[in-house]
Amino acid sequence: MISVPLFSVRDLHVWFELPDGRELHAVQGVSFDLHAGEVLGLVGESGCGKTTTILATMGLLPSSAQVAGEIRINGVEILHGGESSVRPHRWRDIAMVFQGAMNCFSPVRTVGSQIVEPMKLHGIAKGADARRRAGELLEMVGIPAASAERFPHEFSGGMRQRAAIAMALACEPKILLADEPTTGLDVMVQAQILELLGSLADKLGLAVVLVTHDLPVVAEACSRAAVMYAGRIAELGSVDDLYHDSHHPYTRLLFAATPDLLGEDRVASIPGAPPRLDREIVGCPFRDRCDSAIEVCASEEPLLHLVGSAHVAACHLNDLIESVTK
Amino acid sequence: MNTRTLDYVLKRIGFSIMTVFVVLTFNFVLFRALPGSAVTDLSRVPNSTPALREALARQFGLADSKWQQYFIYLKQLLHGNLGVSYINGLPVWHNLTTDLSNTIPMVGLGTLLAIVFGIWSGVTSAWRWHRPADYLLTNTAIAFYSFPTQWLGLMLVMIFGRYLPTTGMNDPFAVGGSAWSHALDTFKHMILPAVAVALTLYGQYTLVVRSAILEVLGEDFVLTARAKGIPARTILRRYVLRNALLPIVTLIALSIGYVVGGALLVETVFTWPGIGLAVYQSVLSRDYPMLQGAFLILTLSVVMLNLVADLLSLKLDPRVAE
Repeated sequence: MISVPLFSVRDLHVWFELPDGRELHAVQGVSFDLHAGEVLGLVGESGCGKTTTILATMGLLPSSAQVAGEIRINGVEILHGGESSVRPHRWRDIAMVFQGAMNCFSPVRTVGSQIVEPMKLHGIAKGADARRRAGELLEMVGIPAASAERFPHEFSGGMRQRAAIAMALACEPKILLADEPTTGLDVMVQAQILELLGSLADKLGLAVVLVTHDLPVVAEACSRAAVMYAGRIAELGSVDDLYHDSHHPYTRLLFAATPDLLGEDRVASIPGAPPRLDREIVGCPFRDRCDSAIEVCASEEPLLHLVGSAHVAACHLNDLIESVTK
Repeated sequence: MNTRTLDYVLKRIGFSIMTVFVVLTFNFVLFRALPGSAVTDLSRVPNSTPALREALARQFGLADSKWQQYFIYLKQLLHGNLGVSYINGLPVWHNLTTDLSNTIPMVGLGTLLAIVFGIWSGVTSAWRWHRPADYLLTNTAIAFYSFPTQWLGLMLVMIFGRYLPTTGMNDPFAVGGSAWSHALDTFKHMILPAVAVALTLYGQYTLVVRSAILEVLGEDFVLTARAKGIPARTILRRYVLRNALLPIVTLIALSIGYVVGGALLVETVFTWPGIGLAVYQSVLSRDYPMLQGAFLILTLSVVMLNLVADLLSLKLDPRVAE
């Protein structure tokens, strides 16, 4: 069955003009699709373009950023019309839980009033109706409805994170972008938040993009994941495929670099650092750190190719293996 | 009002009272630490004798020991008596009310202009951050903030002296005329000194407002507000200004408090008969009671307004009482 995906990102490019005239190409041709009820992980090291990608999909990057590509919600392009065409979609169709969501509430207003605000703005509910709905949302994430009258500083970190999720759900969005929603929380609260996100995706049919650098989080919460490197998608597939049948050396090394509670293995590290994005990269961006680079990696950039069912990877080794097996 | 808030309010009030007492003492010590006294000043006449000096000292209450003087000063203050000016022999209170009634309209107008223009220029430059309007407004503000007041005053006199009066409060030759024409004349005299006050003060507002707003603009809740689809102007009002208000309110309260201190340099340049000019002349003639009186009023005013700012911030930011 071929259906229009709920959320579709096509060939997204983001670059920043630096003060000295050079360009920093932060996101280079990212594409992915997302269906209702699905949780997609977006994984990678710091600075690989995860957060930039999802900020770009909501048109939230600063004016120094240039964005190209298509963002479609139910087949409708939202970015090309500029700020005025994205704004009605924000929070109504696509909402976000921010990195450091602890500070996403203005300290001088009550939590409830900030949850109610987008409902009024987008015409979802108003007055007592909106306030009751805010209470229900807070209950849904495990916070007593009466806390709506309290100020953000009266909440604990975990509560604020939950309240941020409740606020994101205020206008019944179809898509939820969660940027490192569990960073800085203790493990118990982390697990609760992830469980909450998973159950919300199930119950409300939300499509969730979960940005994280934490692979266990991906394994726990996501069905599919995209591994990003140097602003590009290196590999995208089901979490199972990525773990058991990875077709990109970076994915393999990333998994090897994750500590295993029961395993005896030492944690491997990936030597070197990602390439600078303010220079043009020739060949494969990962080749300097790759343990199996071949000659062609230095001259040609590998493109994403299908390596399994709904599983793509950008590595020359896959083409080599394919040509040998043929 | 819960106990925490009450605790905060009482603490602020107690702190204010302490401040006033400390400043009273400083006022006493400070002026007596200056070399010379009203006696050496007044007895600098031909044929002055030690007897004359002694008589003057006794008359001014300067013959007693410093401690005795201090306690007499405190005792008189408690009775609301600020003493008598050494120079014109009138009660200090009388002199000061006359000076204040001249100062408050002029410096008040200047301060008001500075607040309005400074806040506008600060908000605009922050909103147009790193764009030409920002560079223009910020650099102009820094320039005016750093010009010496007396130089700025002289420039105003040189440039606008042809069109507007530059000395005193009234035209000494305009005798008679209605109350209305008298007031209009005073207002004309007030323009240049008030503008001088405004120009020296507004730069500080621009810089404080700009940096307060820029700080808030970088906060996560501003990005969140954009993500919620809230229009930019509403974000500026509801989120940015509301959170940047705290340092701005404190600054406004303090500069209102300083209005009664007069503007010493501006009043001297424009010979505006206000409290600043009075302080300048009192320092020259070591008129202790006048100086003590003027500084007492300034202290009370600044401390009061500071207290007001503290109480307002309690209202503006729920975190303050914590």
